[in-house]
Amino acid sequence: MTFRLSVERLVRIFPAQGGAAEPTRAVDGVDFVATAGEITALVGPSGCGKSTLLAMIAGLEPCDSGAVRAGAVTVTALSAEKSALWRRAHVGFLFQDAGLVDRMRVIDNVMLPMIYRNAKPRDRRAAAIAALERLGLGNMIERRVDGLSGGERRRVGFARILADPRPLLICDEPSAGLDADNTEEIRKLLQIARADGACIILATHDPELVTVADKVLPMRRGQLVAPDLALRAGAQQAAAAS
Amino acid sequence: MRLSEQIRQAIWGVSAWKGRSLALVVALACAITTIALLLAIVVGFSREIERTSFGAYARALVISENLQVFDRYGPPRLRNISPLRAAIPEAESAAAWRSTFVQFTLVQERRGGFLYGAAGAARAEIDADLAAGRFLNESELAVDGSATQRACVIGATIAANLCTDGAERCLDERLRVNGRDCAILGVLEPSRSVSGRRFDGAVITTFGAAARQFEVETQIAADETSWITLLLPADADRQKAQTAADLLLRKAVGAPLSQPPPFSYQDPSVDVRDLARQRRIFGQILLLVGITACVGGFVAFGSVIAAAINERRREFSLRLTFGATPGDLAGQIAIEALLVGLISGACAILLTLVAVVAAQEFVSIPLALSLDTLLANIAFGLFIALLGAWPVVWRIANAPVNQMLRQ
Repeated sequence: MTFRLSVERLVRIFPAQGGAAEPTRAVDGVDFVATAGEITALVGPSGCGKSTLLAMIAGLEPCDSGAVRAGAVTVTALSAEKSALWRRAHVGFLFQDAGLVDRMRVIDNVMLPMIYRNAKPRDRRAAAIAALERLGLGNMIERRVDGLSGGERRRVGFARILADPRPLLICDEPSAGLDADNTEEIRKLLQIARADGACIILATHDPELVTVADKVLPMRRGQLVAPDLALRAGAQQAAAAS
Repeated sequence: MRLSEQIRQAIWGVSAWKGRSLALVVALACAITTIALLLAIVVGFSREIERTSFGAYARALVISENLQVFDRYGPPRLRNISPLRAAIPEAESAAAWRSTFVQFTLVQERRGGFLYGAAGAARAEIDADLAAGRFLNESELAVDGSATQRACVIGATIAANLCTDGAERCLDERLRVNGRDCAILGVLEPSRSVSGRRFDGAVITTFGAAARQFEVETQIAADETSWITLLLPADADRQKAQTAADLLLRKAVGAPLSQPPPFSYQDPSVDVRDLARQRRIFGQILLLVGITACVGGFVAFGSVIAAAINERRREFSLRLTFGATPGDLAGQIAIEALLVGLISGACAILLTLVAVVAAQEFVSIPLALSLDTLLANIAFGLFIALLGAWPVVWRIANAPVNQMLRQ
């Protein structure tokens, strides 16, 4: 069955902190649908609620109202334990800083999510090496990641996704801090993942990266801004791209 | 997540932060070694104190004539030994002694000293090894006092004075006791216990020979003893044994219960009990030091673990993101702590062994180390490690995932 993600009137309110009189509505009634083989880009300035929305989609952040549904599962209704089990089976992540464990070797970082899926050591090693070689990192599998450049780290993070593909890929500012060449690299990698059938939710404010999206959802103060316009823009971009 | 995988991740966690893990192991191993050494000191000193004070004599019921009573019943007799053994079945052995002051002549030297006639299990009371020759054998120590051979074993002090060329030479010498020859069968080493030291400057012979051949002025009959020693097990009820002996001996001599006891019952363990009390206080002081070391180790371990977890918050957040449950993380941290505890326990065993050997070799501190103590090292390491890591494990297991990620 094709993966389908549905975000329904999602709300997350943080209590007032640091002298603020009002609670912060980090995500305020967000509604959208994403499907397999599609890149959905959340764009907007820092602090507009993109990362919180991504965390809620992944079941890492609770919601105050609304729901996130992935197929038949209501992610926002799962307990912490069940949410972890759902995440390990369905969600891949690409982080702004690549999300690597510094003291680990490249190959161990790539294999890390597979450990929690109880993959056999031999299988996960083979998958990790294949993914690293596919991205031209075959010569650095035994190196520790704290000695890698920013671009290399980002590619290792992507190798982790390729080695163990999941139906839902969440990318949080994957091109932040990268030069044009490396951003282009990330763009290509996202296209590879889309071609593999992943449903990709991308949070970014990099206009270069937005061009790869099938759907663009601008956010302001926790809300989607003129979603219809955004969808049209996404459709126009998709048409232009094709 | 499989246990094998958790163990593998825990091993990585320990080995990836080598400096921190080393600090943890050193802190914990030192704390455990301190406890193990304190234990070894307490046990070692207590054994040494008991042994050097009274040896087996500390566990004995010593029966002798009661000189305080008006009616004279005389000393206990050899024939009392068998009924006493029957009345006090828990007694391990019995010995009868007869002591008298005599003149020794060995080589050309003459001097005065005590002669002890022994029957029964006398060796335990002497508590000394043999420097040369042999001790009186079973037939020579017959409890009926029938052995009258003029066979002598001489104490270490006399041997040192009279046989300057070594104990072996004493065996070839001619010993005369009150003018009569006595064949030297053996020479004793100095006694290990204080109570046995009276035999260092004495000659020990058969009970019958002492009574019938060497005593010049006999004050007691041939079958009367200076004292009878009943050796009791360490956990025996002395009071019960004394009551049984008193009832039996009253009946034997016809002394009613309304009269004072016809014999005197010495309890050498009274002084030992004093020592035991002192030792208990000493042990309590050491226990206090041990608890302080233990609390110190626990706090140090817990603090380093907590600091390490803070340092690794990013790693744990990532693991949670990839699908680790809080239970998986808590398990990994607990296993890491157990690994550190296990390594610390093993290191503590080595440190303890080195310290014990060094203490015995160079400063003669009496330390008693057993396999139990060594195994307790490991168990203690694991306990402290788990206890120290518990607050962190609990916090991780109960922290909401999003909170972990935000921190």
